[in-house]
This record gives sequence, structure tokens and C-alpha cells, in this order.
Amino acid sequence: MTLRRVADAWNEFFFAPQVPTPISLFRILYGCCVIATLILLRPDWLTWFGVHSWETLSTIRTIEPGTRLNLFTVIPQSDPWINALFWVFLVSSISLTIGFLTRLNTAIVYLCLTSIHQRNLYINHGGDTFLRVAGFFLIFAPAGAAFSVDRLIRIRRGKEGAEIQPRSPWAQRMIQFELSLIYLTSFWWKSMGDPWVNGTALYYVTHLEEIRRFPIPGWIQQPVILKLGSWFALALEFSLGVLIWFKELRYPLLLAGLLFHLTLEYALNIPMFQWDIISAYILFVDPADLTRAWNRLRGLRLFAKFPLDKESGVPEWPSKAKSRS
Amino acid sequence: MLDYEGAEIGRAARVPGRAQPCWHTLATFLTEAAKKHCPNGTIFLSLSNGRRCEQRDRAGGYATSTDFAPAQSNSWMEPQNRLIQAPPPAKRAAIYRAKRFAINAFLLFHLLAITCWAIPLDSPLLAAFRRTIRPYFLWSGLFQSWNAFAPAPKALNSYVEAVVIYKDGRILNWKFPRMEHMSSGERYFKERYRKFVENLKEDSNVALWPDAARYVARLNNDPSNPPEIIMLIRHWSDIVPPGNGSSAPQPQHVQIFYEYKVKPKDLN
Repeated sequence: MTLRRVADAWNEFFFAPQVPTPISLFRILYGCCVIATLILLRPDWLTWFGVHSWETLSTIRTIEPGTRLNLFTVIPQSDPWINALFWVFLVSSISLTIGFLTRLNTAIVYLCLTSIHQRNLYINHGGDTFLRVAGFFLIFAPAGAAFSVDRLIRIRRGKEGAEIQPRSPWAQRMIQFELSLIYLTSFWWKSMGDPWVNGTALYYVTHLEEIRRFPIPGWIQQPVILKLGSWFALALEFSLGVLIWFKELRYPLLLAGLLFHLTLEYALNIPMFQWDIISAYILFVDPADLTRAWNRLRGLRLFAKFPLDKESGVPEWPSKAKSRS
Repeated sequence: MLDYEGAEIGRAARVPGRAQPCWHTLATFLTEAAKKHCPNGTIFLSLSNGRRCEQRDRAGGYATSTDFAPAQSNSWMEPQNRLIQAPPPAKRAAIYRAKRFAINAFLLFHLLAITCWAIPLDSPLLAAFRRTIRPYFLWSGLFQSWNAFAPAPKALNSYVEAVVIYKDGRILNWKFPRMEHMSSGERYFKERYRKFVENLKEDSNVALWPDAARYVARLNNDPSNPPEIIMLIRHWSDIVPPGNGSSAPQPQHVQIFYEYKVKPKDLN
């Protein structure tokens, strides 16, 4: 082990260019999660963030002092302005999802998201936190480099070719790091509690009436199953935090994590939490595997109208292929 | 030979990456370029992101224009206009190195800071580091804690309700939205109430109580008979520990944890 090797590994990990399809797909999923969160908040927007909300801005600022990125502290304190902020947020999220003025809208979405979280810290859950932190690093990522209106405009203007250009994935790596840290620290916290170690934790979780969603089959609530489930949750969180960085284990772990979160989405009423976390799984998929998957889908003739560029294997617009032929 | 940034092609070989320049193709390409587009000694090179010949700029991206069409950079790290006369190679290299240094410092700082903030470890060194980065983390929104259901899940069921006492002595029992009494669709929209009440009932969040009481007063206001007193009441029952053989519900505990005298201005 030499410093040179460490530096080379660092550069390879953070800067070796790769096709930015994962981060672009993440942008779309991330945008969808933000839009869904806003739609869920809409009926109670002023209840939580209005001038006469459950907790006023001045109370929050007293409880949580300090300078914070919070648009609510700069806009006029009136419900029309606060409503306007909602619409700006929503339009920006939609623009981010479709990849229009991507970097600008990523910054706006991040600013708006941070603002609503800072405005009322007492209604947020882990999914909100992940969206906020991921949004911070997404600002620096080439999220509009593929599958975006921006790219379409660049192609139409002749500023970019049909092939998607590889980019340094350092911002994507930070989001990946954040996700793996979430799992690792969750495991760490849980391992400090007796219920998780002795296997009784899931018993208590399934008996919390306020977060129950859909009925859980009786056989799952047997003590043995709940014990195994508690230990499985610990093992999976550790694996997703540490072992996911090993390529051979990555896809099985992602699949296990996906099933885990879908199970939680069924059983627990914590809206959008599971989807927020799952959205980042795409970042761990190798771009070459995404291309292979796309090729297989094309083989099903469902997407045959999107021919592949012969050299890169990346789907290109039909008009481009037609003009070339 | 110079690339479009004005740097020697020879330096590209030292840029970390997988692809290596294709010398023959580049040499031919440059010759043609020099013949056609070489005003005032400036060499403009537009490289195709081809199958056999790859060239990376110092930002790690590709030069993307085809033929000699002016190309707008599509990366915030790449130069915006490739037709301008390139600054001296040394300056470009210095800019690249500065950019790379800044990014590395950004990455290193955030990797360290986020890890130290999030991990459940207490030590004087960590505590000092957290105090140092706290203003930035609170400002930027990078603060985070991943202790849901940890170290141990809650071992009790609880809810909060409010009692509204009006001017004429009438009493109204107002209940905060309870997820267990809603349809699955409703509770998906209203879950924020659960989270809010979970925080509201904690003694550590006493600062939230006055605003919550005022909100309840406004919600249940009758201009001809305004509310005078709001009481916040928490109910809880312990979850039967597993294996003790009992499935009977545990007794409910009730406690008035806050009483607020409503002022007329609270109802506006």
C-alpha cells in the first residue's frame, strides 16, 4: 500500500469517466419522489407552512436558531406568497424530472426542499432527509447529460452528438456514499439496542398501531419469524452499507434491499420513505448493464422504435437514425 | 501537437483514465485541421468521440463537437467556447489542477463531515468536530440522523387530544388525526400529523406547545363563544412484551401535559 496507489484508487473511483446514464435516471426518479412528496403535502401546505400554521416561523427560529437556508425567512409572510412558493417548487421539480435547465432546477429544488424542512423540522422523516442530502450533491452532478430535454436541445442545436458523453461521476459517488452510510449507521444504531440483538424489535414495530398500513399475515407474526426478521434487517443493513461496494455482491444485495423496502412499504405507513431510498439504487447499476438491459428489452420488440447507436449501443432518437440512413 | 485547450497532446497520456490517444488518427486529423482552420497560429482541434480514438480533457469529459462546428460545452467544468484562442498551456494546467484540488477538498471534507456527524459514536474529538461543522451543516441542511426504531423501537402506543373549554363553559374534545382510524389512502396523506404528534407530546419539545394550543383554539373558534382554555392531553399504553402470554390490552395512561389560556389576539 502506497500513497500513490491510494491516490490512483481515489482518482479511479471519483473521476474515471463513465456514461452518466445512472445519474440521469436517478434524476428522473428523484424528481418523481419530490413531486409525489409535494402532492401529498398539498392539502396541508398552509397547515404546516402557512403564516398561521401549527408552528409559526418565529417559534421554529426560536427553537432552532442560527442562519439557515430557508426561503421562508426571505419571502413576505403571507399565505399567497407561501402558496406561490409551492407552485415554484412544483414547476421546478417537474422541470428537473424532464431535465430542462437541469442544474438550475436542481438548485431550486434543493433550496425549496431545504426550506420546507427547515420551516418545520417536526414533520420530517428519513426519506425527506435523504432527498435533501442527495439533492445537495445532485447539483454538482451531470444529471442532465442524458434522458433530458437539455440534451435534446443540445442535439438539435448541433452542440452534441448522438452519443452520451462520459463524465466524472464524483457527485454520483457522494450520493452512493450517503446511501451506504444510511444503512451502516442504521445498523450501528440498531446494534446498540437489546431488542434488535435479541430479536424482539420487529414484534414492537408490528404492534405500533399508528404506523400500520396493510394487514400482516398471521404466520409472519410468529415469534420465530419476527426474530429472524429482526436479525435479517440487521444483516441486510450492514450488507447494504459495506458489502454493496463489492461488485459480485452488489446486484443480489440491491434485489434483497428492494424486496425489503417494498415489504416495509406494504406494512408501514411512512409515505415515500421507501421510494426515496429505492430511487438511489439505480446509481449502483453499471452503465454497461443498463445498456444490456435496454438491449434485451428491445429484443422483446416493445421498444423497437428506439434504435441503438451502432458504436455505443445507446438508444438514439428515431429521427437521428432515420436521417443517418 | 496541441489539443483544443492549448495543451500538449503528450500530457493527455498522463491523465488517468482507460483510453489512450490514437496517435495516427490524431496526427492525420490535426494536419487537416491545420490546413483548413488555423487562423493566426491558433490550432483548433475538435475530436470525435470515436471508437478507436479517444481523447479526454482534463475535466475527464470528451471534446464533443463534430467536424469544425463550434461546440458549446455541456459540462460546467469544460470551457464554454472552444474557438477562442487558448491560454498558454501552463495556465490551463494550473486551472485544471486548481479545479481538481477544489473538488478533492470538497469531497474529502464532506465525506469526513457527514460520517462524523451521522455515526453514533461519542468522543471528545468527535464532539469538537461536530461543534465546528455544526453551523455549516445546519445552514446547508446536511444534518441527519438515522436512528429510526433504534436503538429500540417504541414500546408503547400513544396519541394526543385537546380539550377546548369555551367561554360559556362548554367543553369540546378535539382529537388530533389518528392514522389507525383512517383509510389507507387518507393516512398516506395525513402521516405528517403522526410525526408531528410524536414530537409534540415529548417533554423535550415544550416550546411547541403554545403554538399548537393556539392552532387548536383557532380551529375550534366560535366568534360568539370563543374558546378560553386549551388543554393538551396525551394517552399511552404499553405494548405487551412478547412471550409473557398475555394478549389483553394494557391499561391506558392519561396525562394533561399542557394548559393554555387563550388570548383574543390568538384567534385572529
